[in-house]
Amino acid sequence: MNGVIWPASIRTIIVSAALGAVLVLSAAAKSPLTTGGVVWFTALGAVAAVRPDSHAGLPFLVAYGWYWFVNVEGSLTLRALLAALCLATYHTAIAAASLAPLRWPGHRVIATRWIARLAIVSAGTAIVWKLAETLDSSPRAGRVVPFGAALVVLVGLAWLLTSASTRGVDSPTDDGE
Amino acid sequence: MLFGRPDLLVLTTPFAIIAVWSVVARPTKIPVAEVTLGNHTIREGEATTWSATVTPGPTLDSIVAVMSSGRWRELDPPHGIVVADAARTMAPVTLKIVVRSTHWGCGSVGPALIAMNSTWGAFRSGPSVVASAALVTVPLPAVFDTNVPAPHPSGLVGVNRSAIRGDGTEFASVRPFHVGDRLRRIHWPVSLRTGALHVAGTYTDRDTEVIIVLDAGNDVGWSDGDAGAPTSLDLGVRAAGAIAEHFMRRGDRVGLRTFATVKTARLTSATGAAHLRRLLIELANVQVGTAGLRRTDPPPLGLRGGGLVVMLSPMLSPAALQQAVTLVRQQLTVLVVDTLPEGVGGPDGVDPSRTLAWRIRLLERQDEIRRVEEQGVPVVAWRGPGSIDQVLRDLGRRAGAPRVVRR
Repeated sequence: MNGVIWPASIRTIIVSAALGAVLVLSAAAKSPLTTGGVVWFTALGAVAAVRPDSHAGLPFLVAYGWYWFVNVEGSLTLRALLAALCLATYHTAIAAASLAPLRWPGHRVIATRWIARLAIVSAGTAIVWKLAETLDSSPRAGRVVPFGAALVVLVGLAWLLTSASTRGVDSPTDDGE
Repeated sequence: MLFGRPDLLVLTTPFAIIAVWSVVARPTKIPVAEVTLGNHTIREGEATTWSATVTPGPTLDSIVAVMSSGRWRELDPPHGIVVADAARTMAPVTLKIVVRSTHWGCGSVGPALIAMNSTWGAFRSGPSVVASAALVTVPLPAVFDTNVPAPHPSGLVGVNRSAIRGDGTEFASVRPFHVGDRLRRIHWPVSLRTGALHVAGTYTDRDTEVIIVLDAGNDVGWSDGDAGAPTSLDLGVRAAGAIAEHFMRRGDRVGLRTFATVKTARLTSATGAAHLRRLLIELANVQVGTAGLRRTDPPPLGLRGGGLVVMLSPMLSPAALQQAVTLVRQQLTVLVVDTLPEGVGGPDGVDPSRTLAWRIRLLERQDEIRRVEEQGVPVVAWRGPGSIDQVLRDLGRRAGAPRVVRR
């Protein structure tokens, strides 16, 4: 991979994903984003592109979620899926960029793996969006079984997360003691 | 469904998936990196490999090593960042950075940072600092050769023609046969003509002792490493290495003394590859002295006479020239090699007063060199191969001539 391509493309992806998410938000909101709002979100995205290894990506996501929660109608449209995909791309690109200093010219195998991960997450998001849309449009009585299944899955995931997060990490100095 | 907001469920789904994925793939063991350096002693312009070996756990994703380059280090890759893919492998992963040293001296490689990331970069070990590894860069001797034998050979066996007649290869004269002469030395034409046995007499071939004295009191000029302009100390160190290597290959014994340096080197005369290596490492340790050299300092030699003393100096310190005169008065054959680089003191286009000061100093230096030469110390500028041929030839002739000795 060319030494110039990786830093330039990863920064372009971060800014493009942020801009895409802002455009979707502007279209989905009850009232379009003000110029100040666009500048605010764009600036946050640009800072995250310049310093991906900092915490600059988090304020963008928090502000975006809050603005969406307050200003967007609760209907499940294609815009929600697009926004979710943009945010997933934004997050993945920042995580990939913070892997090594941005002077690193990149590696084809590692870039391919991150693209594959993003594709898996995007596919999962699309499936959830489709399920949610189906459930949202079905009569209230027919939602019991899917809700029960979703509840079981959530509990299972919660248990999995809890057990995984409390698992100990062997320090190198623990060996042989 | 999530506060009656299914759109929020969709919006948070990617982050939920990534969070679950990251926690499930959480590393259970912090791997250890073992860092090694291929060679701890290299020559200028040569490279060695810094490597870090990590045995990844099942959930390790990537290993990153970042190394800073110093002034005299060139890295490959040039940015000093290596990322190894550690996913789907349990075999040890090795990250390698090639370090090329462009200037002699004792230094280090690194420091380096190593970080290990889990899937999605959710968990990271490090970046932890890896201690620097010591690296000695011995000077790459300048190209040097001479066909002139060293004067005053006084050892046992060598290639230099001595003043003593005996069993050797260099023809001396035809003389009458004595008991003990080898029969193959009989000169038959003369013997037949004179009617008495005559033999072709030869000079013995012996080795000589060469002491290299390096003046490290000044380092003038700007160094650009192995491929660029040298400083006076660069020239001196590389010339010392070249002269030592040349004479040692001929079987002569070479010693080293440094003065006006931070740590004075005193290497007794010897020959062989191991001794050459020791000598080059001593040269790599040379640092410019700050205290200078007092005129009264005795010459740090311990040479009884009969050898050749090669003093390498930019001759900016009168005390160094005084040393050369003192050595000559001790009946030693002294040769001073001028290591001041060409162009030093020329107009720099920045500060005319500095240029003027340099001109004055160089004029003073010329006068000091002339006075030293009047004392019988030959001074020759270092210009690579053949630099000291003529002076050695003159010294050899002078060795056979009668001279006045101060008692």
